[in-house]
Amino acid sequence: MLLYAGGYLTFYTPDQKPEVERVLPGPVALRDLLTEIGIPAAEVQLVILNGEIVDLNGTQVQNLDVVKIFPGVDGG
Amino acid sequence: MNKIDLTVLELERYTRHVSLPHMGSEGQQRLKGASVLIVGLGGLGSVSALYLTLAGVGRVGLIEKDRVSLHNLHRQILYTSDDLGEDKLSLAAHSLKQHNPEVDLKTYPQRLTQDNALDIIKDFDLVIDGTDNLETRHVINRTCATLGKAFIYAAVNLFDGQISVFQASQGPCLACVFPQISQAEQEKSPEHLAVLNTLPAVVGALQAAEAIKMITGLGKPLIGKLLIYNALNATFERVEIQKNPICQVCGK
Repeated sequence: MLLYAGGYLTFYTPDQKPEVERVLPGPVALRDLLTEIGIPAAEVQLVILNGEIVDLNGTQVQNLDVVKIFPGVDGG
Repeated sequence: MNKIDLTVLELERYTRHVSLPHMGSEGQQRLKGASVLIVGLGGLGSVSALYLTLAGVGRVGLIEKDRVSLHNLHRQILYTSDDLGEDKLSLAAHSLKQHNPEVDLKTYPQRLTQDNALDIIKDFDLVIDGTDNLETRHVINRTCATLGKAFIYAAVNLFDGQISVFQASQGPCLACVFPQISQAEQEKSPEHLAVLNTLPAVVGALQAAEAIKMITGLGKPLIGKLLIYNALNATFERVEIQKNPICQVCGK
């Protein structure tokens, strides 16, 4: 599973690298995965799972999924 | 949108536009007859204001209250090192007028708030979001939804940019995608506002392009779609966004 942490969420990933790869034992709740990586779920405003916008709550991810998460970006 | 006849000099100025397939002098006349409000003249607003002025949009509204700071200058192309401490609005209007004296500029030396938004936005066909905060974006969104107008949203952060066209009568609104402002969103360190300096240039130019398309009818605007640009991987991803039936702004 590949997670892309967009915008300032990159600051929370290991070595501040936007892409985090994980081999998962099976489907896991995205919210739990974010907690394990150290990304505050409260700061995630947009989740794109395999090209579609989904709700963070209730979303599960598994191997081969590509997940992109973004904060409610406020830069201009 | 209204059309206004072009002068001989304008036909010469915009000849590379007029020669475009499906643009012609009629498209350019629509640009001259149009009015666009640009909220915020930072990284995004500087670029979209410049390109819409150069494109010959007849009336351009500018809202900005800040003064030029040193940390603005790596990306905000309407200001120079000589402008530190000066007010952005006057500088931007002067620069834009030099770029295209044909354009009628209307300036608003204030912040856009829920109290003044209706009065200001009602006089324009389209709104460009060049703000640097979600709160003002939601003010624009609510007001445009009330007035039935479109606004062209964009945001940039680190290496990522987003753009969409929100028109509640034809698709989702901003609140359908970003329904609330978290406390974390409102309290950010300067580090969190880091941005690659070319990012607002790319995304601001895309905003201007969407505005030109909306005014002239060219192409398909980004209504119901969110375009995400990633500078690190040099990718554009376009995702569908849906109307939220229980959206507090545009839901029924």
